[in-house]
Amino acid sequence: MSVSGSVKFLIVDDASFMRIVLKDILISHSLASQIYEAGDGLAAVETYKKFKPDVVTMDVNMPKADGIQALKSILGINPRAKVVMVTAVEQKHVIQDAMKSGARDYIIKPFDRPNVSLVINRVIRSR
Amino acid sequence: MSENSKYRELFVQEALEHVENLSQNLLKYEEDPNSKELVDNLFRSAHSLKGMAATMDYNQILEICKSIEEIFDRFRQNEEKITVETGNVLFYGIDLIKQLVQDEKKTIDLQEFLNYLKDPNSFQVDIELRSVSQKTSPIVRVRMDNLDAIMNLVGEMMISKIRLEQNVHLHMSDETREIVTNLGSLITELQHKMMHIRLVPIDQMFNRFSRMIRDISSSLGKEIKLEMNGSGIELDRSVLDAIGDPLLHMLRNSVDHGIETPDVRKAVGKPEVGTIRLRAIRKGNKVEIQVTDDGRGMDLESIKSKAIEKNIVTQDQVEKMSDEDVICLIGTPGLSTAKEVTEISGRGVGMDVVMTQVRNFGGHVKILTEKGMGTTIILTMPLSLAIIGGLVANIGDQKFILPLSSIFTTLTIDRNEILYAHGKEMVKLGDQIIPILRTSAILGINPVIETSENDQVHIVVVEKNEKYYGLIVDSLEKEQEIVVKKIDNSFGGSDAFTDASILSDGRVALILEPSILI
Repeated sequence: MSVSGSVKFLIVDDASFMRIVLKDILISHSLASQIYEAGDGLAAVETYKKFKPDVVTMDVNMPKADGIQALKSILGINPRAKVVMVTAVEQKHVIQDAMKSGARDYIIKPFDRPNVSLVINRVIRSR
Repeated sequence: MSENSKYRELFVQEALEHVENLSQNLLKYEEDPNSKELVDNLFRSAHSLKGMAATMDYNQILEICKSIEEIFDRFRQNEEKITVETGNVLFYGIDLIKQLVQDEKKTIDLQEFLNYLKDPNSFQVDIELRSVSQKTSPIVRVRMDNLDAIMNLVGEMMISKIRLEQNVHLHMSDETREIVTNLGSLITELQHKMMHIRLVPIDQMFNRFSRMIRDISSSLGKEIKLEMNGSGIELDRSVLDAIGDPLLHMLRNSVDHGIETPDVRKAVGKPEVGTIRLRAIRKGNKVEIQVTDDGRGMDLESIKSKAIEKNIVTQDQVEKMSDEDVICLIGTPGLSTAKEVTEISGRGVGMDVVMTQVRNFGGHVKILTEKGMGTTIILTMPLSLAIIGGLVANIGDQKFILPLSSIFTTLTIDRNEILYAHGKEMVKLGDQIIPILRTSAILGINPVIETSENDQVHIVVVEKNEKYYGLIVDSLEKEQEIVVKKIDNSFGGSDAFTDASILSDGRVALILEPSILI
């Protein structure tokens, strides 16, 4: 199932704990070749501009710009950017908003490893 | 559970930060219930903590966070206003979270808490205790070396605790384990309290400067207004001491060489009174101190000719240099000597001394200048020198600590992604190609043998003089708080190492300042 090749990731989450958990999942499923990290929405947009990662995982609740704002800014830079939202279970309306705004998919906290791998694989392959 | 246990330490560390943030901001929010910023912050902290607890399978923490997050959301939507009674229950909830974070085996009466939250009037708080704790406490003066001694003892305690853990590791009963865990969190808390004691408001230092500026400017026949804003930032005393001299030097430069005399200023259409702005801004675990003047700016031509005269660069090289490159020359040792500071009309002399000192303390200097418009110098320093954020890197069979303040980012790439140009190894970083260096070779350590072609390469990217460099290490461990211990350098060790720390496994690791290797 794993996608080989060089896929660059940007993990956006204000909790370094969550970033590390997600990073471990990406690495253990051989999904990523390079991983960048950002701790808030503004840093996410800056890092995106600089490194043009292939896939972005975006937490919703963050200081400075929140995930939805950052999603919109990134799509403003590159309308084809692949952004996957990361949300808590009960935030259905947020997911709907994000998908309408152009997010490719979403994953839910706490992470279900096989599902994360499935979603990320799908997004990597999508055009 | 076993899957998650490796994240436990990281979880505790970050969760306690959220707990601290929640209680401090809840106190502030009680006083300022209209602040959208505070309630947003409270909501976000509860929400983040909830996600973390869910990942760790800590259901009690999850449930408390969920319930207080809902309350914060109601405050946020203006559906409910905070009352003293609700505040009491929320503080109680935060205390419960703290206990549960510190002791993963603890069980609490969750239903009781949820009932209190529904009916805050039913909750009895020890009123006396809270009203006392909210009073400002009297101040005692303490000698810095006494604080340092206690700080050192706390460090030693941490090491003893680690050794204890390892010694009893194999035959530890649940009860012993609980006591050791509890001891660990107590020591961590003690360490945080100690750090807090060492903090001094930056304004205290800024205020010292105003008299000096006034005196020098009047002796030079200049009129200068000094605007200062410390933004209420508090710095560790040792950082404050470290930047005192460099800041003084920078301000003197501004007064002496930057700001023009009133008649000159009038002639070029500037206000006769010059302005120097001194500002501190907090950026994460760093503080940025900006010194801005509206003077004549640096004379790049005179820096160029000085550099040629001192054989630092050749005429040919200078002609190819951008303005930024020329500004970087200021940091070259030997460009000037202190004696020449007052003799040269241009600015930017003696700055190499400033830059070296700032760099020695893990800081960073950036200079922006425009001819005729003025100069801005930005000093970036870590908030604390006693405890720093560090990344543990394995190089060969040794462990080194890289200060987070020196790291731009880290990369993990496949070995076949390394590029070669002119016999040097390079790697792609975004749109740029940056050189990479084998840290093991520089330090003279045998690296781990490269086993398969598919091996991953770990690279720490650092910035020096606006350029990025990659340092290859064998592997990276997680970020952690590091208690810095000074090394007695009298045995003639390398300049690259002046500090060390003790890792959680009890091993001593040297703190490696990466810019020195480049």
